[in-house]
Amino acid sequence: MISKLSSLLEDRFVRFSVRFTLSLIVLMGAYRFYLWSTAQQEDLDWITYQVSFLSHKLALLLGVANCEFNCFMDGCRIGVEGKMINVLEGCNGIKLGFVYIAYLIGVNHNYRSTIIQAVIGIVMIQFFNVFRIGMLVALRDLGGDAYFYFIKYIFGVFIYLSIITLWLLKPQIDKTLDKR
Amino acid sequence: MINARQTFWISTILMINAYLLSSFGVGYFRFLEGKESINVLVVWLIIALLKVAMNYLYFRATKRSVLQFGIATLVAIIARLVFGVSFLMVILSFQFFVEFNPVSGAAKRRAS
Repeated sequence: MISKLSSLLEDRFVRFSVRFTLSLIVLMGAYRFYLWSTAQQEDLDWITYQVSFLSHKLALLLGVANCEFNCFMDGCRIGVEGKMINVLEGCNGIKLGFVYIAYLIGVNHNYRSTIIQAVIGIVMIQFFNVFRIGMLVALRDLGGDAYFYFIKYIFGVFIYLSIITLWLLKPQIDKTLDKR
Repeated sequence: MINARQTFWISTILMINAYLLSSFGVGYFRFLEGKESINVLVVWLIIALLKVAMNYLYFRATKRSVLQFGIATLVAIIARLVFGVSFLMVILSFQFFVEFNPVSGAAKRRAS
């Protein structure tokens, strides 16, 4: 029984699964604790606030006139009066970033490379997320059905493709970092 | 003739599209739930079964083992239910690990 278990753990897929799951539990646990501590202070979490703030700036750059920005304990509201969108904690994209980091830890080429790629990944995912929310504010302002299709489908494809691109670039980044 | 890597890419593109397009169907179920013509538990079960069925087809098409399908699905379900993490994102993590890992992944699969 024990030998069977140890041989199973030697399988790289099983090892990856264990490392991936444990990393995800630790990251999400820390994040849950952070959310709990901000809720205790009756405050909105910093990540959701920054994502909303930058999305509002992008919406202004895209030419959304009279774009308002209000934050509450559970999230922010961005847009023109009557056409505002809610940016809640679940919209801040950090959970996708945690899955990406858990993948990096699961593969674990080396620690330095993992940390550098985790930072690059989080920045890239947040860049796409801010672009997504800023565009949604602009589309909501324009009106029509485009907003609905973008939120349900097109932005989802974009965000998944951005992470797939990061995974595909990983061996190249590892090689570059190993040379240094 | 389509090789294993091409099959992987086609399946991945199909899976992402099917998953995202199914959100329109999910919206319809939510609409029925709002009209109280369907139970919330039934809606949840239909969506969960749909996701697992699509995932099974994805793993079959890419010729993964039952163990790999089982572990990936279990982790994805737990991550979804406990942490609210995207189900597809977790599945893609496992698929990309297997595909681009030369020892236990694609090479072994293609050799068998």
